[in-house]
Amino acid sequence: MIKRLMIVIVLTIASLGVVSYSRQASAVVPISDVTIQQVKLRCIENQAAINRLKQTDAFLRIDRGSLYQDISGKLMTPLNERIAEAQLDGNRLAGITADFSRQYDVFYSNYISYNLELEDLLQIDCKREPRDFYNLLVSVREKRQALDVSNKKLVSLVVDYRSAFKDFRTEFDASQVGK
Amino acid sequence: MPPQETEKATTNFSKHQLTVMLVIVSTIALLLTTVAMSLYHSSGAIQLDLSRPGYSDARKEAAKEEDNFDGFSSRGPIDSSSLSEFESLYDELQEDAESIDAFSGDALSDRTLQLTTPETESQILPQL
Repeated sequence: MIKRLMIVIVLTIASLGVVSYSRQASAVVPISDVTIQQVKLRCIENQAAINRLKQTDAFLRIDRGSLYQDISGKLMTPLNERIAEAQLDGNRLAGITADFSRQYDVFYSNYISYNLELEDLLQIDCKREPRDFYNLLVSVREKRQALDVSNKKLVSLVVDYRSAFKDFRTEFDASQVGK
Repeated sequence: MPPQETEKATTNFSKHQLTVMLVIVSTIALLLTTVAMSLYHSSGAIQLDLSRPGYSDARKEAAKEEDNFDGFSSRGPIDSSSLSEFESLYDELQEDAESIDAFSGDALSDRTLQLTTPETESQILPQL
């Protein structure tokens, strides 16, 4: 009975398997022999540089993430609530806040996707597998660019909100004249 | 199953009750751990977890930064004074947001990683 139980347990564990992650194979790009040689030659230095970049980017994500959360949660939303409470027209401000929130989600998922591949890149032995390393490097670059774009969009929405606020204030001040 | 065999099986089970229980408990623990780990990975939480080995520098830097920003209260009137207060708070954070061009640049370019040589510079492959 114990033997049977053991077999069932082993089979269950085996069927669960090790959690595997299906990563999309990075697009194969044409690589010159010179580049391959350079990848091998600069392997250790580049692994160290990429590792430093990973640390810097992790900190940047925390820093920027916290800043964007403050802007959205501690400034935009409270002002929108006050405007709504005062029954004034804050549609444009509310719209930008909603866009900002959506864009933050994009930024968040772009970072996760980028960091996942960056860690994969650090796992590759660039001396033994320079082609795989380079192919993934190209893909990581793309992911970092997407992250950069989403970050820039967030900053741009911060500026848009400020501009919308300026307009709101001008209208508000004009409405107060003579009161 | 004849009554004798049933009795034998029951006796066998009684003898190994503790072992069976340990095996079952271990299996449940293993299953729950597997589920928790897969959620940790699939949710992306692992990518944001600075407590992992290899993130010590980022952890130290993040620990230095304390969020002391109180923000703008959602309660109160909309008047000239409150709008000025908001403006001042917002301008401070906007300046911070615009001050760092995070994730830009070509930190992973061939040139930065020195994967090109002066000879290949002229016939460089398209960079992403």
